[in-house]
Amino acid sequence: MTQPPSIQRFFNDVSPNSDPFGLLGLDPRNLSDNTINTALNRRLQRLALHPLSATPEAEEVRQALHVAAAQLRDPSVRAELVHDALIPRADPRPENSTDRSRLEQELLAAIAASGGWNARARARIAAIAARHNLPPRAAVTAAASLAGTQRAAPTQPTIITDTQPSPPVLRARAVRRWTALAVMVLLVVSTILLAERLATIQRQFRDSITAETPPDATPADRDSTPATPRAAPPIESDPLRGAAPNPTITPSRRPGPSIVPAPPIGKAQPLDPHTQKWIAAADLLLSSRTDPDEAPEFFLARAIRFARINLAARLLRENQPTAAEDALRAAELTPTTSSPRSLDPSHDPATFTAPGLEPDGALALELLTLRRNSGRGIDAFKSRRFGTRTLGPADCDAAAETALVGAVRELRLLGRRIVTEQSDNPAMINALIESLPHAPRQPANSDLIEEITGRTLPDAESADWPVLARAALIERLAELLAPEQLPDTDRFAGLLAAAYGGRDDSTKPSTQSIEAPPDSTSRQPVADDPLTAAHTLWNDTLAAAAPLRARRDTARQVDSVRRDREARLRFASGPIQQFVAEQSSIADLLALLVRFEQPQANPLEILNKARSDRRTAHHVFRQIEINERAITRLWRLRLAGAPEEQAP
Amino acid sequence: MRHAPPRPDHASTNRIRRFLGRSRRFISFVTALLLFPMLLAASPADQPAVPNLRARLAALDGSDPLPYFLLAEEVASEMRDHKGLALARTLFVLAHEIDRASPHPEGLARSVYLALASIAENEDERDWLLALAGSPPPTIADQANTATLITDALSAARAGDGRSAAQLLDDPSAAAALDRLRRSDPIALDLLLSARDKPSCPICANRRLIKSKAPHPAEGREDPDLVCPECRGNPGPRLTADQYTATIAASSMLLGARHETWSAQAWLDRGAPLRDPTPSELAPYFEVDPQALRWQPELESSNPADGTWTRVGPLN
Repeated sequence: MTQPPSIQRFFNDVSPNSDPFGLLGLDPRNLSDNTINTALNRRLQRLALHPLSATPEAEEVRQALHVAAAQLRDPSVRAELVHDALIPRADPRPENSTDRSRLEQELLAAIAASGGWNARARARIAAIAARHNLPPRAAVTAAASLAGTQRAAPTQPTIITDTQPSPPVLRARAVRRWTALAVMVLLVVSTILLAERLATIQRQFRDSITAETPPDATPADRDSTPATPRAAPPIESDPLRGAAPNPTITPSRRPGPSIVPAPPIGKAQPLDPHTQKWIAAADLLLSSRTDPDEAPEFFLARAIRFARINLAARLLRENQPTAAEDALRAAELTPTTSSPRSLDPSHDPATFTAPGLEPDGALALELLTLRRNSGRGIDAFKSRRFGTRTLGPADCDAAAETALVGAVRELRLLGRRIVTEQSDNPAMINALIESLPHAPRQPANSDLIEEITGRTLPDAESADWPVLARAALIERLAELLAPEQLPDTDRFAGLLAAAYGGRDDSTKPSTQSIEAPPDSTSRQPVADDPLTAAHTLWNDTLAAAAPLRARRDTARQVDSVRRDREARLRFASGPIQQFVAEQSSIADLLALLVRFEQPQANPLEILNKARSDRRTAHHVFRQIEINERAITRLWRLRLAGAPEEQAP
Repeated sequence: MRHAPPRPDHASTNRIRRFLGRSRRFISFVTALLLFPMLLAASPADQPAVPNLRARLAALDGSDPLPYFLLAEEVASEMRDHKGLALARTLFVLAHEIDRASPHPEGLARSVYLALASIAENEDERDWLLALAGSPPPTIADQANTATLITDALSAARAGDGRSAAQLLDDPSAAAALDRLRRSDPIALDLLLSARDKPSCPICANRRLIKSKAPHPAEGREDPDLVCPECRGNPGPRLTADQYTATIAASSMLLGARHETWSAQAWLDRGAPLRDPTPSELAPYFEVDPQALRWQPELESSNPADGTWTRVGPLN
């Protein structure tokens, strides 16, 4: 019996030519209705668990299983099949079967040589019949039978004789009747399913064009203007709009990357303990409310907790439950914010324009007098050191002016020495900014700014130099002043980078790393770059979305997300906004993945909420928290198959 | 000799009459000359700048984005007042949304962004729309002169050098940057503008040193120098921390400074949120309901741009 060609795709232990016993995995010697039903159910369950269980091929196999079971339930057919299976097949051919086989070959050769069943073939067959002492009519009838049928059962004689069929032949005929019936049923079912599939493909193609043709589609993509009015999409539209991918109907007969969607995890399959624990932690955090008016660093602290939850989800997905547990434990802790501290007076911007306090001004008096005297008496400064105390704004102004616009080289060198020794003094950077407009564009001045700021500048004659030199000084000033103004920000950025990068300090948290003392925040270099970590995570997510890029409709959606990402990164200003751009794009891509894997899920609602919240956010840290929360909700959907509101 | 009695001075009277007559004609001529442009200006009130605007608006049925777009271009070009530009923006956005929803888009999106950018209300909005259109951001060379100019003016203002600040601000290219500052950093702008009028240090005139009246022992008969008792060697306005930060933030924005640390960026841009430059944000940004595609005119109004957009269903 020939089984559906795709049977081995679902049951690799079943041969395409298996009999009903082989198909159902039954022993012919131990057969009853119960065993048949049990075997059938076992096969059907196994089929249902297969990722392609909803495809037309699976339906064919399902029908074949039912037919096989029906054959075995019929007592007479079962007896014949058992007989065939247990007793070696008796050769039904008579003794002269060799001669008949030779005769058949001659007849077939004659038909073939004549180019088919025609008059010339009949004449040749008559000649062959005469040679074998057969009546011409019998030979012609046999040849016609040979020409009209393929050799389905070459062991069966096709020449009509007067001999009666033997009992094994009767049994074989009964089996053939069932086989024919089964084949007919399969043909009808296959035809219906094929037609349905074709209709689905056509509908999906039409829908995908409807929704996914990009705004800047080429003229070739356009068609005549539709006559019917179109309703514009609702405000909360997104790249997910359009044809929903339906991975349950994805029979890919072409070679290439096959799309095997993950089976939906929901009530049908119990969640493993690690996932359950993750869901509990995520739900707890998601249930927390955010006051939009609270201090921005609290947004960032909460975003870190969400980022750790999201890291745990990624680790679970990568089958690293232990590391996921560590990340979950880290997520339970809220990073501490620093208590307000009194500013270092030298880092208080208000002092830069205030009248100098003693001893500020003393060095200024010396330097200005020296300049007035064209450097006379400069030798007295040669052995002095200027880095022993933080100079005030008046002294810094005088030193910066001397360094940049001093009339005598020795004066300028003295000024540069003072500036260099005070390079960590924000008042000195401020003084350089104020003196630069009066300074000549000389290599020596450019070198001084490079040394102070740590930036590389173009040639001093370059057209870009004035902008870049001023920008370098502003950047350096901000680096010196900002950590005093926002003491937690860089530490939190480092923790966020750790969660994104999945580093040990996040996956194996210690009190030291999570609850860093406030004193350690000031002027501490950033532990890692969150933007680089976000770039990496985007690339990882894009790699995970490879199956989506193999299909035309979902590939367009991925391309749309990539275009949006490029536009965001182009428009974003500075590392924080660029991080938000990456985060938003990661959320968009994750939503596509969720939608692809679970067509019944609705990640669009999560994205729309995040977009709406981002739109009304007044601080970029709030946007970071909004995005991280949305990503947690998407992971919740991906791992548990339901949003947190519907959680049991 | 008797003098003939004086004749009535007919010549003078005639001259006066002629003068008055000429004056009347002159006055009439001048009056007509003045009234003519006013009459010309008054006539368009009866004849709208966009022909058949009301009928063309009423004919829009949401089936095709092109009529929305073409009418928007015409309105944006001919009706430059607030109502006209608002109507043009809505028409552009609706064209964008209808095209997005279409199974066969006309590819209007980029044209819409550029058209909206051309009538943007401010630089930030224009930059956002250009980003949507995929246009490259302005390079350093595009804004180098202006950025340097304003940064130096701010430095001069902080240092109390009002004269230099004023000279820099008189440069014609400063106007656009000042307009940008007006929205992004009003504190810095106030400081900059007030620096023009601020005198230098009244005691030392920003020289920071003054001559002592008492002879300095080390300098013999020459008057010795002293640090100015007024400014203590640090002339310029006394700024609060917020004011100072505003000036640095303004320079940072104009120069396109690239801050590596989050604290530096958040300190200077005060945590400015990212506005999403994605097509789905266009309608919410301009507060346009993409499903309100039908125009409901305000019949009592003489201005054809008066009306509302409604969510009436399709015609057929």
